[in-house]
Amino acid sequence: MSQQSPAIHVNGLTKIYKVPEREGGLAAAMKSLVNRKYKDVKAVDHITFDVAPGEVVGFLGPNGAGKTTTLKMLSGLLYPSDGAVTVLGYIPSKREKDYLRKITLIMGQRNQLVWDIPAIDSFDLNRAIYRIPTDTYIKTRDELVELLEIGDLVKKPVRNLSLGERMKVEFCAALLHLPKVLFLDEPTIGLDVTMQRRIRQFIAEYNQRYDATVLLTSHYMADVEALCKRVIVIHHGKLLFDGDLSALVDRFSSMKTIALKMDGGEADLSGYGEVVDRQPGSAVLRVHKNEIARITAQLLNDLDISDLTVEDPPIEDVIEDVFATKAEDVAEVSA
Amino acid sequence: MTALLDIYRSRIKTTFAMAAQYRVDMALQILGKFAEPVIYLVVWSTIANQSGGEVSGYTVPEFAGYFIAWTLVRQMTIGWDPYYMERRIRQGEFTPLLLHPIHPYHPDTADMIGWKIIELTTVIPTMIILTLLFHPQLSLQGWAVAAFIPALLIAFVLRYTLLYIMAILGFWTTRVTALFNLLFAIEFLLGGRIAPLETLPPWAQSIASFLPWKWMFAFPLELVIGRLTPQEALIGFGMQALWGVLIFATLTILWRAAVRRYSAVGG
Repeated sequence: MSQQSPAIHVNGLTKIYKVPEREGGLAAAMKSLVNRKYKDVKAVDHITFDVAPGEVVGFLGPNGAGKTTTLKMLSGLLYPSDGAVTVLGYIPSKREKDYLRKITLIMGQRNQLVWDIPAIDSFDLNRAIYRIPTDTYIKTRDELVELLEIGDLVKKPVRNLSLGERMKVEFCAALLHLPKVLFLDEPTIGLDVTMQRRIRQFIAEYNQRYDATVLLTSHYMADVEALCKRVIVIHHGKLLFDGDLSALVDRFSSMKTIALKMDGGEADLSGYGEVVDRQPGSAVLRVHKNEIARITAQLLNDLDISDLTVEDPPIEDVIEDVFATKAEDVAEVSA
Repeated sequence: MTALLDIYRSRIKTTFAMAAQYRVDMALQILGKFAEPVIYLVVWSTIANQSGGEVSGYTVPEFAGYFIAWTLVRQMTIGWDPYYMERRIRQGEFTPLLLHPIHPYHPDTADMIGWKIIELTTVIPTMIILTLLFHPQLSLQGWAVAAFIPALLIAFVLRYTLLYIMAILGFWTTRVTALFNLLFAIEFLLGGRIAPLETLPPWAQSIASFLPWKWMFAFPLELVIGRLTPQEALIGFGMQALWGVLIFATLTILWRAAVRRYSAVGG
């Protein structure tokens, strides 16, 4: 973390929702008309982190972990139940106009463009709403249109665009005011692999060109691996991990994989570790990381190995393990 | 102020672009606009004819004048219906609007103004056709016609804002429609929509004077057809001003509370 003041500062942030609840059935429905019961649900539970200016941070967690709630609190849409937040020195919940002009929140499943008209007309409305001087607007719009390769799309009614095309156009609309902080909530959800890659490239380019701070949630680990050196993992509302992506693997994965290439032989490998894959002349083993040195030496000694590589398990597998953590175990892990 | 005007101008442009996408829909709207005043006209003309040619001081040609002017006032004072606003709140469509550094009231109002301008292109032909069919009798006076324009604009702002307030209630209950239906029934009767207020019993007319709807509908209408004295017109503007203060104060307070409410429960 650099010494300059953080772009995003979160300290003990908590959000508790009051959720109405009742039993099923007509009698319970009638009873709830006069005596409604509520239950407190802690969506975000005392999380603390900083994000430096220009940093791209992956904000990970399974569904219902509290990611979107956190992003909504950071963008000023939700009022925190407890804790303190500042973004670019502003308190988001005050919803100051100057603050709203410096941020954007892009949600993969929501759109802000007017459905029936070409996006270019919605862009002009955003110019007026964000008070962008006309010459700056034209320059930024043309730059974003070029970066996103949407020159021919912005003149078509939004309803005629594919999901991926619409997302690119949404990005353009949401960034016309050149926000310094981007909150991206599943920006690539539902997009095909090619479109996901293009959106990723665009986010990286925008971050570098405008030195923007980005907090990104995504279920696609390819997004996270491509964009984020640092990740924050939240689970059951609590902060589980904050650090480098590589450190996440070290912290949560006790296993490593060994890929082998052998000259001939049908040797039984089960004694060395869990056989994940076996092909003629090659195999992949999963071995506890404390055993790696011993097993590697043993393999090289026992077999006619032509190539051997030791790798961390795929990030998807690690994240899957982390997400499988039960609520009661989260406090223990994050303590 | 210039920035706000720029938002209104840009939003109205967007609305024109949307309307251009739905030309057939616009044409069909003419038919809809035609139907309601024609029904009232036929009913009241029949009643007047059976009552010796007059009801509560309105002759058949005067009823025609009332309902032809009614077509313009009605169309110009339509606001967002709370069904639409309720859906926007329930489906989270308000979220992006709350991230804009501008009160959503402004782009919404600009959108509505855009539709009004477009609808004039269908309302005026409708009024001409009704005039040719029903031969109205109007006592048009220069001062009243001049005063009608601000009276109609204020009526639009008041009614539109009142509906907006009702829609904001959607932040607390996602079933604003029931309340809207109740108030709409009162407005229908005591606003001059179903019949001129003079056809109501005196006690109902007194109640109507204390409620906002008369000043959002019957007042500009009676003004333009020449049924008000200059003194009555001044009282009308005074009542519009009074309701304006009340309605905008309510909007301001309610909006702050609505955003706090939304911030507390999410959406």
